[in-house]
Amino acid sequence: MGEPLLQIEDLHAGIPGREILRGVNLTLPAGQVHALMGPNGSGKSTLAQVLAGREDYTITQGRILFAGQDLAALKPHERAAAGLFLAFQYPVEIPGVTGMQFLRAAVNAVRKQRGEPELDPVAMLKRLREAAKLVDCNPDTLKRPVNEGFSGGEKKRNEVFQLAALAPRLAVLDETDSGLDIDALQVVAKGVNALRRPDRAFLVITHYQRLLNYIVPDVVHVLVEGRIVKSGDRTLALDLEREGYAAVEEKAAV
Amino acid sequence: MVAVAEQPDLYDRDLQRLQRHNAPDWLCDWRQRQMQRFRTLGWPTMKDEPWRFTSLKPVMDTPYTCVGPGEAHAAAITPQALEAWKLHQEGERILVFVDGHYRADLSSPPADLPQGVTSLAQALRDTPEDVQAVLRRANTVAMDALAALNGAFLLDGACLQPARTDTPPLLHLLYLATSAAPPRVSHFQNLIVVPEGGQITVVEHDVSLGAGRHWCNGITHLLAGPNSHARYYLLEESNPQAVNTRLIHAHLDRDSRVELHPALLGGGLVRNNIHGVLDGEGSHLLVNGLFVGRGQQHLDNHMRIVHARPRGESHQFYQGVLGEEAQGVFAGRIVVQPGAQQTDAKQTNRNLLLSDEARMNTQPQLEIHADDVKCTHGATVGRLDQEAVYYLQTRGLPLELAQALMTYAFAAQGLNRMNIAAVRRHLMRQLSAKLPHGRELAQMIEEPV
Ligand SMILES: Nc1ncnc2c1ncn2[C@@H]1O[C@H](COP(=O)(O)OP(=O)(O)OP(=O)(O)O)[C@@H](O)[C@H]1O
Ligand SMILES: [Mg+2]
Repeated sequence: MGEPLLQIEDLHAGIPGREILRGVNLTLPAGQVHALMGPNGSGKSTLAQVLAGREDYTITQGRILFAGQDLAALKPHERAAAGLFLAFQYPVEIPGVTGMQFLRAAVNAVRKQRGEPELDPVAMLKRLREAAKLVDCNPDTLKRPVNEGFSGGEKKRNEVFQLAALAPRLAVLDETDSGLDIDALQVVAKGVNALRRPDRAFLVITHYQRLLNYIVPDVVHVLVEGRIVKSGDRTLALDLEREGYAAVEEKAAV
Repeated sequence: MVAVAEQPDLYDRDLQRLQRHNAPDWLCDWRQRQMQRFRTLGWPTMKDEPWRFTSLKPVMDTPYTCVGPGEAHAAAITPQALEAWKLHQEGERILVFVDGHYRADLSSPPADLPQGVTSLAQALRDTPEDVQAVLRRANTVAMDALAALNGAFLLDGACLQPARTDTPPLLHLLYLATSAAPPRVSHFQNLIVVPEGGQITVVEHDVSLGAGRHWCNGITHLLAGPNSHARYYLLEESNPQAVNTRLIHAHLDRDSRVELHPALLGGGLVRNNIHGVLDGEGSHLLVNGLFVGRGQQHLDNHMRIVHARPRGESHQFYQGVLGEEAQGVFAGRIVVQPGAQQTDAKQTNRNLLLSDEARMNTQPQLEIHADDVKCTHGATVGRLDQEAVYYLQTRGLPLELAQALMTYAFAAQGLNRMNIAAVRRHLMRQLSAKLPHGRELAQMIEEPV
């Protein structure tokens, strides 16, 4: 077991007048995959967005350490440079910017912040081709404006393509499996598994135990009303599927 | 401040000086008549509907003088200095003007220019009757006071009447304006005649040589013959002190195809009038306007498209970006005359405001006098998509760069309608230079050559 890459301590966060996360504790060591499950509206995406640095949310208590560094001081782009990646539940369309321009900009912006030299066009193309192959993406999508006119599944797959191209240390996948057909699900899972490394961690948000058959998690957490009410091994996901959140919640409360 | 009434006296003096140069009688008469018309019409004011949002007071209050031929002892301009403005496109031929006067020494050698491509001043010396005939054909649309003032100083500009050829060159008209005291005005005209089945690509390019004031009051007449194809780009890149008032008049004959791409990036006070007349069956007009203002820039786009014959198609896109305290105006009108059946006309004005102080006034209008037509128009004024900006930030782009990229992406919709790669590349650089993180942005979006 590696060093904790991500450490969330008593995190309270929300929007003015409403606390959505109400004391989250979570430790994710490098090399591991953790699943985060929970009913609709329990705060999973909020947690993901707070990690990415979305300004709509304010942290009122607690802290997030990423590789030992307090994230609060970092802007979203600095978090990306530090090695954090969020695959959005609802990926955004960017008309007028091609996938190629977008990824070139992203990869080089991150490298620049890290003090690494920018990739020349040839090296960049190579990197993007490899990433595309990993998630079975047609490299021609790079010529299209980002996500514009993409189907729901294509958008999700494109998120994993970006993940592969940016090679972060921590990837948060917010319901990347929702909207994917069986084949696409396997492709995405295969891609994620290929990206697993001892120095990289994943936080996989999902509603479905099915995904966890393909991406086998080390730990499953259950978030209910802004708190992690239970953590366990992968069998917890099976219990949830069988018994539902209410039953698991009750057991946890006991 | 100089009183308003004084300027016409100044103009009279300039005109008298111009008339002393050798010119055919009809031309001297023409100028006198135009000056008369200017006086009768008077300066447009903001009480006049077409000038509701744009004041010419700064122009009226400034003693702009018109220098005659040979008086424009221009600053030392070397051919090397011109390299920076060239488009570096295969087949590019350049005609250079300083304060509206042709400079053969800076232009492509005459042997490289196609037959029929010359300066207006030269054409007036060589074939005055021919020029007179073109002017008669061109002056069929209503001209306002500024056009009349231009006519009063008719002398130079570009006269482009190339014969039909398989490899039409790209004609680059580079208008350099000096900063002088007192400040100067140039009233040039470009006469472009495309023969039946001919093709032409013209890039007019307005640039300042200094940081001081100048006024450019130019007219372009583009007469597109039957079944011809003409592409006209206007690149306004003068300094923030500059005034640029102009008229681009396109007359389309049967089955012709004309593209007008006015790109207003520079200038302090800019008024660009587009007047298109689809006067032949089955003609096709594209107007692809782009204007990007910041600081105190005032960019006014005025457009009137007349469908006079059946089966005409016209598409007008105006894409505006306004930051800081810049102001933009779009007033577009499509007129479908009786009998212009099966007209297909579409007008869109989309604007992006980057600050609370920036202003945009937009008025798309239709005036339809035929029944079997398809006409649409619409305008939007919006802000940057915050969700998209945030998405880019999470991928590693600092806020300002993410905003600049989104701004560029908005303008790129206009650039992508331009099919000359060299022009696109040039504008892309100009545009990114106007945005924060310009150099990084340019690298990011550079098209592979
Ligand atoms: N910016 C916001 N403004 C107002 N309410 C918000 C905002 N963000 C989240 N919420 C609310 O906070 C709660 C948690 O939302 P969140 O999106 O984190 O849930 P979730 O667990 O991801 O749900 P789902 O499984 O449906 O995706 C919801 O009630 C939601 O409406
Ligand atoms: Mg969610």
